Amino acid sequence: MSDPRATGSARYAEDFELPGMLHARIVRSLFPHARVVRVDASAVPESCIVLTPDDVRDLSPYGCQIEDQNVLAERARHVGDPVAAVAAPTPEQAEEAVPLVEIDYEQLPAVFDAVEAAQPGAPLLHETAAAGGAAAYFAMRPQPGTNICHRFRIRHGDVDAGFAEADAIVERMYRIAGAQHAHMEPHACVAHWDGNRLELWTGTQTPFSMRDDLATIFGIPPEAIRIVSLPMGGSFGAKTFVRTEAIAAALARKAQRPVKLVLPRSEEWQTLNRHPATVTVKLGARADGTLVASQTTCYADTGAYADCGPGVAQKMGFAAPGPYRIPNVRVDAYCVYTNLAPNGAFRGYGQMQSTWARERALDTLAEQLGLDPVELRLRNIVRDGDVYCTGETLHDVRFAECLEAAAAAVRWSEGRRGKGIALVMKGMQTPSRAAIAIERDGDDYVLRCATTEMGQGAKRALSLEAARLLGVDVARIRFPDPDTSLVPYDTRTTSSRSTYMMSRALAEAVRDPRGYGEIRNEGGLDPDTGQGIASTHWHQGAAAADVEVDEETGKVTVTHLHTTTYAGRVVNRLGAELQTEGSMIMGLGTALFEEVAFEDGQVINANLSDYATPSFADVPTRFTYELIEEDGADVHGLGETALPPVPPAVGNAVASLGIEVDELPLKPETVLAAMKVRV
Amino acid sequence: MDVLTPSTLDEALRLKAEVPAARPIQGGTDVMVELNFDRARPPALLNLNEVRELRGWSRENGTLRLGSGLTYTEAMAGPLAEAFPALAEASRTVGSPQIRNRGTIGGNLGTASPAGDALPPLLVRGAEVELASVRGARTLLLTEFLVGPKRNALEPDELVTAVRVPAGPGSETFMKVGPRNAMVIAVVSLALRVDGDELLASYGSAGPVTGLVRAPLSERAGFPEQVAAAASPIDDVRGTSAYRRHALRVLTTRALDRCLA
Repeated sequence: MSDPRATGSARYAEDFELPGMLHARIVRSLFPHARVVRVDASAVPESCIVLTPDDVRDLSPYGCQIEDQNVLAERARHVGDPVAAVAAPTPEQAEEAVPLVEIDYEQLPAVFDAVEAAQPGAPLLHETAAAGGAAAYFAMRPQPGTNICHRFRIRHGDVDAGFAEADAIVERMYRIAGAQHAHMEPHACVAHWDGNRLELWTGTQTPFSMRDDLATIFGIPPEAIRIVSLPMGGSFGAKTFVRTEAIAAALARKAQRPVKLVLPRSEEWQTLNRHPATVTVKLGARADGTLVASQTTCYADTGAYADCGPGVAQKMGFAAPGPYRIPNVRVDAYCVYTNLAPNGAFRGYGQMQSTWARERALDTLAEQLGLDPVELRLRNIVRDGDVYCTGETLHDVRFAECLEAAAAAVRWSEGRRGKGIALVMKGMQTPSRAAIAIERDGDDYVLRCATTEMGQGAKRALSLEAARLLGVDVARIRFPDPDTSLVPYDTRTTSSRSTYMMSRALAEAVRDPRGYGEIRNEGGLDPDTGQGIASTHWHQGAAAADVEVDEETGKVTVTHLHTTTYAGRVVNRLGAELQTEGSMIMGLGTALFEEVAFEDGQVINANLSDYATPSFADVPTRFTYELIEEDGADVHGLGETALPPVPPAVGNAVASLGIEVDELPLKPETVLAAMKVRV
Repeated sequence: MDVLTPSTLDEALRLKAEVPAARPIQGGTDVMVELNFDRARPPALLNLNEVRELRGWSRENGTLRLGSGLTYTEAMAGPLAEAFPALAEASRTVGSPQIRNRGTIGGNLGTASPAGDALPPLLVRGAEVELASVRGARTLLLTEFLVGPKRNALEPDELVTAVRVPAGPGSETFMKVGPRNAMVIAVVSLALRVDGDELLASYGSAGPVTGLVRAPLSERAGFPEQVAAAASPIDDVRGTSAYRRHALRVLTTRALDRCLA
């Protein structure tokens, strides 16, 4: 059977059409921070519908975790902030209408760095804290009078006392560049009003969050909204929550016709990127390598609007200490507004940043103590039944196994020059809820659930699992696109949770005479102390890299990349392997060259020629991985685990040659600069 | 936009004379990018893919004559790769297999980008460009043909028909530094040739035009510095000016070692 994605017959959100629909384009701010003084659309032809701030004044502000964003900005907070929108009979006419909308601005002072923006006296983006959004699963801690929209802390033990008894202390500041998801298919949706009912076909990982946010915006009950999540040509976190859908729906409301909105590639960089971050790590250990204190400060640059940044900052913070026994832990993580384009969910969700910082710091500490980095980790690694700094007990712990396997893969014991290793401990969305209904249709079984397909193979994995549980051939399982009017509530398809959560709901449904199954995982953290349950299910993995550095050009070549991931019970072998490979390749991009570059707040590499993602020619000659499996164990999500440890494994390998780089990506110029201060 | 598809060179030249603003297109790897980004809106495309006279290459009286329709894939292998190794090396670094199958040497000349990968190997060989129009044919040195960033000496009614280089012996190589290993515009590129007692280096992406630097072999020691000093690179998203000069110095040293080994 040929895969429709391979033959080109697959239909994605971008392919969806309704009769009589108009095509939309967004008119965007040219300035990073400016008041919109006047919008004049008089030059736009009559065949076009123009949406201006006047048209959306009745709509409520929105935001999945903080409701700080308006459908159109009357005060633009980043270059590319939507100020108006047009809809026309053809995409070309819509494109031509955009420059005909004249906008007068009054510029305001702007700030582009999260650490600077968090200081008192920095230009404020949002003077007053907005209400929490529907998808906020923890209490927000905005810091009044600053750009900090959320502060998360862990307080465990006595960190000062811990450092006082340390024989060695390292403290370093790490910077991680922003990245673009670079999903092949851009954001695409079609909105249609049927009286007071809104129907929306869109590529989204979060159909129910989308429904709830649009209900808030338009002031209608969630039941009056139908979201169909169409298959996505990639997402990696970009197609979460409201992106273009509110503008499409507001245009459709004004036009009284369906409206389709597909983002041009360049506008993706103005819509959502990964949080640039500055993470300072201080570690203290006794001479024998026993860790006694860990202190981490994270500044996550969330851009002009919070989006899910508070959650990203919180996850960056709660997993920052990592899979190590540390009696004294202090974490302060800040989610900070700046005048950059919004930053949000990105594969690895906060882990890319804090894993880089911690794992690099551990190697620097090992160097200072004269210890082998693997040995230092093994001396401190968490084991089954250990209590994490959040107070939760860890179960089914396989970090030591992952670490040892990864070290063996690069023949660590034969010499560690040019080699590096790193561990990742990644949480899953907690609390969270998943439900599924199984319907019988003749000889077929129909799965009704909100798990979305973005190319990760969720449909395949759950269909295989359903076939196994029902004892039928997989050809008899049907899995229609999620439609919120037909499927039970599910939190969302994020954080590598769906195979794990939804397969458990599926098992319940198979047992249930009505064919309905529901699973709830409870938990959450106190944002002021970090105590509680961070994750009911931890993703565990390690990466190892072998590198060569061209000491004249500064170019890093990864000759061998390996990851070991704890997989538990594997549901879909091919899918598990492809997710791992994809994660590793994506990790190489962040490690070596991916960086959203800005000048005065404007992205200067907003195209796929200037913004390079890894090509197959960048995949190391030796590219290996293993999944640690266990029959009868839980299913473990594998969508992200092999990604965050890749950059620090590469960075540590470079550091083993005496070149200490604290900044991602490891561009040739950055590596050359680090060689000048080489120890 | 009209698409004009001549099947002979005479017909192509006549069409170009009739519609001088028509944009010649072969593989389209440059032209289609310009159209898609709306950087140019020519009234017509002059599709040269059916013009047999522009295809292939030949040896003529001690010179290699490369048709402007020669693709990178054709330049990468076989006797041409042996006769013109630096061009073969450069061609192998262009884009992806699909792009190398479509992209042509003539396209690189027509676009005249300072980042054109075929230009440094041609420059170190002292290439001459054959131009033709209904008014007749003429030949220009490649150094005279490249007049500025993305600007060349073509008259509005002219087409590039071929490029000629001496077939003589010599040692040459091509190298580049890029942000990733394929499908990317170089940070800098360099072709180097040792021709008897003369050193010739040509750099790409390090100045408004692809530059050519010459020195006697006796000045080998100072040549890397001479190449770096001749370049006038800019700071951009791919690299700083300082890094580009540094990389040129490194590549020139390595290329000299390779060619004089």
